[in-house]
Amino acid sequence: MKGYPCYATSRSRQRGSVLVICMVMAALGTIGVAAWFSLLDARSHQVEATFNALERRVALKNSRALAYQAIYTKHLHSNASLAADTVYTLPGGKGKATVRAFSVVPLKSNTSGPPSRNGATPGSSNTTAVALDLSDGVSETRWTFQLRNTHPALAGDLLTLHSPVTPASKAPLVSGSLRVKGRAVFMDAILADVSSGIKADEFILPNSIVGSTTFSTTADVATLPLNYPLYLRTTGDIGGTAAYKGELEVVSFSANPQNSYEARMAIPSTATLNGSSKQGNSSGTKNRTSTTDESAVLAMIASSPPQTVADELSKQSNLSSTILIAAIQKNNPVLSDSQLLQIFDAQTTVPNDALTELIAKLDETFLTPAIDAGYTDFNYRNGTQFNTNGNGKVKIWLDRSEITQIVVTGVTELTLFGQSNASRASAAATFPPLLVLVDNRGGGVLSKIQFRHVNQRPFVLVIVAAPNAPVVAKASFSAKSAFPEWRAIIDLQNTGLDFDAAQVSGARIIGGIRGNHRVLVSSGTVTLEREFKNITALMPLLSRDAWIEAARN
Amino acid sequence: MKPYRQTRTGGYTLIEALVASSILLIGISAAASLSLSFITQEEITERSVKAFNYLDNATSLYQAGVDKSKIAGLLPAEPVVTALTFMDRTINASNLGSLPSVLISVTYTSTGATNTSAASLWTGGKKDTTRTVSVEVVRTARTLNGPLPRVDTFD
Repeated sequence: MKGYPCYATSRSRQRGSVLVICMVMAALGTIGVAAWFSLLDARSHQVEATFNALERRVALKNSRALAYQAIYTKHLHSNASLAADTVYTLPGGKGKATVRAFSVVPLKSNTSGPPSRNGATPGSSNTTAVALDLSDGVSETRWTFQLRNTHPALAGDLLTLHSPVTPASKAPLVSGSLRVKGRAVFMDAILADVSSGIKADEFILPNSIVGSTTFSTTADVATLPLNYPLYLRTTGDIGGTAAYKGELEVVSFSANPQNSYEARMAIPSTATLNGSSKQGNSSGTKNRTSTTDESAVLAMIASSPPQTVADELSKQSNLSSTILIAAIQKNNPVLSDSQLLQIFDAQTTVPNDALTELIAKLDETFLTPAIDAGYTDFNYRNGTQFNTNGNGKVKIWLDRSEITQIVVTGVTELTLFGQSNASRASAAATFPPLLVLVDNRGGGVLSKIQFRHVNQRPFVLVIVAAPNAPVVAKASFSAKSAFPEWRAIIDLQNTGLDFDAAQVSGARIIGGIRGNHRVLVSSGTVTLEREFKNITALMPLLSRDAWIEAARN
Repeated sequence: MKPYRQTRTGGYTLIEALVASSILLIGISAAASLSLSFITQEEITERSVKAFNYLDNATSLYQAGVDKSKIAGLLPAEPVVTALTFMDRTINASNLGSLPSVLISVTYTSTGATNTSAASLWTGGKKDTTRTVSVEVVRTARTLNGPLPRVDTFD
């Protein structure tokens, strides 16, 4: 009796326990299934969010592409700033770029920029910093686009060859012993260009070339061209459209008022010369007239032997222009170079008209070393700056600080006088930069350039010919030094140079060369080295390239 | 009085056992079906992620400037993807006008089934079921590239 209720109670509890266990297990199972379901649901949402994230990334990249497109199309090359914020939008939230207003024309900016972040264009550069807001479809991110500019030579591109002015020519753009102690940039290269002797520490080519060749550094070590692309860059407009395909237009004001050498020359201190008319300038007076009757002296010049004329006239130190010119023009027989110098050396000052005649008569190419030295000193004493003889021969003396900008037209031969000794070179290194524009677009075929002595003055030489009449001029060096150093940045538009360094062991150009025609070395070696000293002084004079560097703030 | 209760404690009736078994079977079947659905969903999810990543990479390559004909070859093989297509279009941008754009599409199989029935179908879905995802992309050439006239002429 006593046990039954106990048994019954226990049995009943056992059945209840089973139910509880079942319910607990069911509850746990439900929780587990619910957790699993929740997990899978979360996973599904995550995947959905992945696609949303992808769409936002694409939208952001679209916005960035839109910003690049807007700046390339409207701003980077143009002569305009941006007065008001401008919004560029793609439909459906696929992209949106807001370009904030900026006040400085990109190609005119002289504000030194922060260091390059991508390394593609090392060295100094100026920048116009443009703020942009790029949308990813949900929110916006602030970016800064640096619209940079510099002359390629100052950025380490010591040889930059744009798309050639004669694309149908099979002749190589470069040949001979040309050494580039920096980067050689070809914007449109073929095999012949890079296999004709050039050696450069770095090469960069935008296009692949067919055929095999070996690229060598200046240390004769085999190298490969850089494997990153050449950033899209422009010198401005050409033919009314933006130049982004390697075209070169750095001279014409009408095409590029923001970046042309003509624009830089449009200041009152610029001297102008025409090779077809006699003209010269020095520290002397324009001319010197006589207050007395000079007929007896003129008769003596006409009738006396040359040495007698030289001896008599050199006793005077203030001869008139008439007398001096008569001595130069005496032709029966003519006075020798030394006899002429004897007369002119005796003058306290030499009037410009007589000096112009003298310089036109003496050709440095044929002077003996002694006479050449005397002639050099004579010109230095007289402050000779520039001279044309009327037959297209133009001579410019770089050791005159009075001249800073010269435009010469109609030039057939150009002689550039540097500094003949170390002290003059040291003095010239402190002079303001000299910009010379040889403009033959209106006529004149430049056939010869002479680089005489050495040059330490900051110097920019720009030569331009008509695009339908490109020329290759001979360029020779003569100096006492076996390795004359010419500090020069040379821009060649529709003009090539054929260097002849036979008279020296090897010529060095401290600066660089940019052009769209041939750069040859037919004799000797020409080495391009980087200009480090005068970047700040040179930059305002130079026509630049512009490109974009973008960075998220 | 008490003996009747003692007989009920001897066990469960057949009916009870059958009912309990039926309920258990229904539960197991439901759980199995749910598992199948969940596994199917997970498979679709995983394949979708792979396809999205593939599309992401293709888009990045395109926007980086890679020729679209070379993109499929540059990407590692992705078994779930059956097609990568680039459709040239134009898109109108305010203040810029019409710009070229490309609709990049990735088509992928959303199921791992190899047959339409039988054991291989256990993860659900038809074996031929595909899905396509697309994005419209704009890019700007930021590097100097050819062909330029001289290259055309001599190379």
